[in-house]
Amino acid sequence: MKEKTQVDDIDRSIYDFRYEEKDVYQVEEGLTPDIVRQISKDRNDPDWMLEFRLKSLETYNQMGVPDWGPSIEGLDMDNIITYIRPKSERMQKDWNDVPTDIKDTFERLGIPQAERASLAGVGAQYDSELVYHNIKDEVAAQGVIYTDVESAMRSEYADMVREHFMKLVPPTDHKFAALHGAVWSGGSFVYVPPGVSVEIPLQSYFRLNAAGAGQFEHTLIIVDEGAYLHFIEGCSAPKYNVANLHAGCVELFVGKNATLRYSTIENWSKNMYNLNTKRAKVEEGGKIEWVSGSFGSHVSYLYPMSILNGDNSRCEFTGVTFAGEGQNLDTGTKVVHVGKNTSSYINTRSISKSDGISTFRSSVVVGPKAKGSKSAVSCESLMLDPQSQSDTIPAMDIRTDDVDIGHEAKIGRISDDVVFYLMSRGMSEEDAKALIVSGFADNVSKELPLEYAVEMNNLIRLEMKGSIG
Amino acid sequence: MSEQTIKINHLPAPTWHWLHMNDADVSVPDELLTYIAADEVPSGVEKTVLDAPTLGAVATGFGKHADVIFGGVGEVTSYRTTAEVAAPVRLDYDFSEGANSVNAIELIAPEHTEMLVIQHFHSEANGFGFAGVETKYDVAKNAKITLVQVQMLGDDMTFCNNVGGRCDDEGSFHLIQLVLGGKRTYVGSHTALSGVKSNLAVDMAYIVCDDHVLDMNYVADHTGKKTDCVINANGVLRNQAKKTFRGTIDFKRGCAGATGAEAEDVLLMDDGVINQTIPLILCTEEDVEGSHGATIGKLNEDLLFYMESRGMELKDIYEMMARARVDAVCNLIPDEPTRQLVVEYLGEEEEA
Repeated sequence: MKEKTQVDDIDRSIYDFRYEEKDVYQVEEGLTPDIVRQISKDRNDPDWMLEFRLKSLETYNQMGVPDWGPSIEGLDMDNIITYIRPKSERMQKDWNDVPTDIKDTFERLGIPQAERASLAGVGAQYDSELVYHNIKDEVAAQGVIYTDVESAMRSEYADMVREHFMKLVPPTDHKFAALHGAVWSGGSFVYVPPGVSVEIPLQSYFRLNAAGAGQFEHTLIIVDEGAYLHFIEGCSAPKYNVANLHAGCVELFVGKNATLRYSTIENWSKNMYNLNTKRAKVEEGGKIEWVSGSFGSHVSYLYPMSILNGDNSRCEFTGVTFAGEGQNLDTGTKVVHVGKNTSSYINTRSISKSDGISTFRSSVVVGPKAKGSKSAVSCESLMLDPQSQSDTIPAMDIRTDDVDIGHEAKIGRISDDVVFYLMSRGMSEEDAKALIVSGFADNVSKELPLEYAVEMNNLIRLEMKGSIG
Repeated sequence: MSEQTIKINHLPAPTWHWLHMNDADVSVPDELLTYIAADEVPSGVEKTVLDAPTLGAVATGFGKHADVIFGGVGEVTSYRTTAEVAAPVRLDYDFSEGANSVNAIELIAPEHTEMLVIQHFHSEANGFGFAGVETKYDVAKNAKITLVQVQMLGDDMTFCNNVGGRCDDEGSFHLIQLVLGGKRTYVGSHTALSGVKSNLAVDMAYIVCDDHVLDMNYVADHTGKKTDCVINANGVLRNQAKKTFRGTIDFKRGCAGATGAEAEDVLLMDDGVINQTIPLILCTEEDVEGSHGATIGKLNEDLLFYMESRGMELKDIYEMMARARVDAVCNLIPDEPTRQLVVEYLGEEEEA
């Protein structure tokens, strides 16, 4: 009997392990001013931050949930624990001092190994707080700061943090930005001084272990004039039967003639509501490069935004989204052209199978002063079976005549003609299909460092078995 | 004059509200008179005046609130082909009187018939007021309707042009539209491609000038197998004009073998223009091929270089290419008198 060819769901077994929560400090479920005060007190916030949190909570209570995207009815904030951390000593700089179960978690995920092999620094967040942060001496010697936001708020960079914190993504931006403003904890602060090029990447890894918890890390990166940084973000969680929530916030400031590459491989478990907000502001001659792989979560709302503020600033967005069974992933990007001669290039792939829903959503806005600007958007969607769904919703708002805007999109299934061509060159049908499906996501994997490209390919694990039936 | 503001031209799948593209607001006078168009009905076409529409349930591009505009139309005129190939039905809408008025018609093409309908909307150059026209159609098996709509309204008119219908097996609907005037023009079109191998073609061209507004919403709803749609919109924006294009190809589960393509080409002539474009593909069927493309901006540099090397002035090149966009669609009109009408109108505009 023939074994029917199939494209498997992503194998999450290497991420789907858990440890019992013990010796933890946590707030009650739900969201009240008292809970916000409790978080602020435990984190020893400065006064301005407590005030900011409470105001954000007010904003959160006044705003409605999005009515244009996937349903988030299954998310009940009354059941979400917004802050949970190990009771032991907080962030460590020596890996040996990290609690054993947490250390085991990151060992299984390969983080320390990656740090030794290919990273300039690593931050590891477990539930609501960073448990480990380290940066290589030679990178620190260049003046690069890589630490948690809490420490940065009390360091010589306190004013810099206050000047930039939630200025790009104000709490009024949307309901879950307001939620983030109220209950954020953990995350990273990075500062790269003028002219410094960080040759190998920094990485932060976010692990949410507790059932029914939320993770609200804040990432603030400032790349000063003429500097370069590649920052990698990874995230995963074990699967539970209750909803988990991720409402992080990433704010990136790219200085004049600076370049920041921000890569994300997201593999949250399928009970996760991933309502994350990422935004970059790019000054004259600067460049932001987003590389984004979205594979996990039950529901995602994820649209990294680039504000091309300075003349001749640029952005590139390269993304792949894989929506399998039970997943509704609404992903894409937003670009705002403000400065003259700015340019954006967006290239995405979406794959959906087994009743998974994948939506590409984008906006390209060109303001009246952005003369000489160019934008090219290309999105392709592949549907692997009749049960899945794939939508493309790109918007363009152009307010000056001196522009060159191009957009193209395609949707379909694996081409019979291409399979036939490959078979005529001696490949089996199953190999041909496997090659096509794997190659479809190449736009992202070729932009990642080798180690992460391998991880991504493992993550996708598009296996073609047996003969075609 | 009292009026109410309603939302029309809804995107089938909404997006961020801050973009203001999910729908359009239109102000509708509370009192609307029923307008009866002057028509030429050839032999082979049967005209009937109905008290109530027979295609009332058919979806339209304007959507659920269209009844606020057209619900009070006193009579609906139905045109039905009885011959295999009929001569054009000509409908002349002269809104020069300036009254706020609405009109509704139905087009019925029974099996194996073809119908060409030409609607000409016009007024004085300084015409004003509100006009609404709703056109619903039913294309039976192996039948075809070609609907030509030419809009040459005055500079202070609000015009609501709402179209909706369905195509049965191998039925074909071809919509040719030219929007050349009007202060605020709203165009909605919804086609239910429910029959096997049914198809839709939309060829649309526009010139929007001054502070005028054009708002469009085209929906191709594929439920039949091997259905096909092609939506092309080409136009020119000048001065402080604003245009919104919504185009949706909706592949519903079961429309195996369906194909769809939409394309928009917008030439931006002045710095104050606003262009909004949102082409959607919605897909719950695996066995389909869909694509969309958009090109927005100035003329291609290579083209400009070529033209300038042939001795043309930059301004003349832009005028020629702007005109070419309209001419390309005008040439698709299968009726010489209508083509001539457009040529004369554009000639007068250029002289003005």
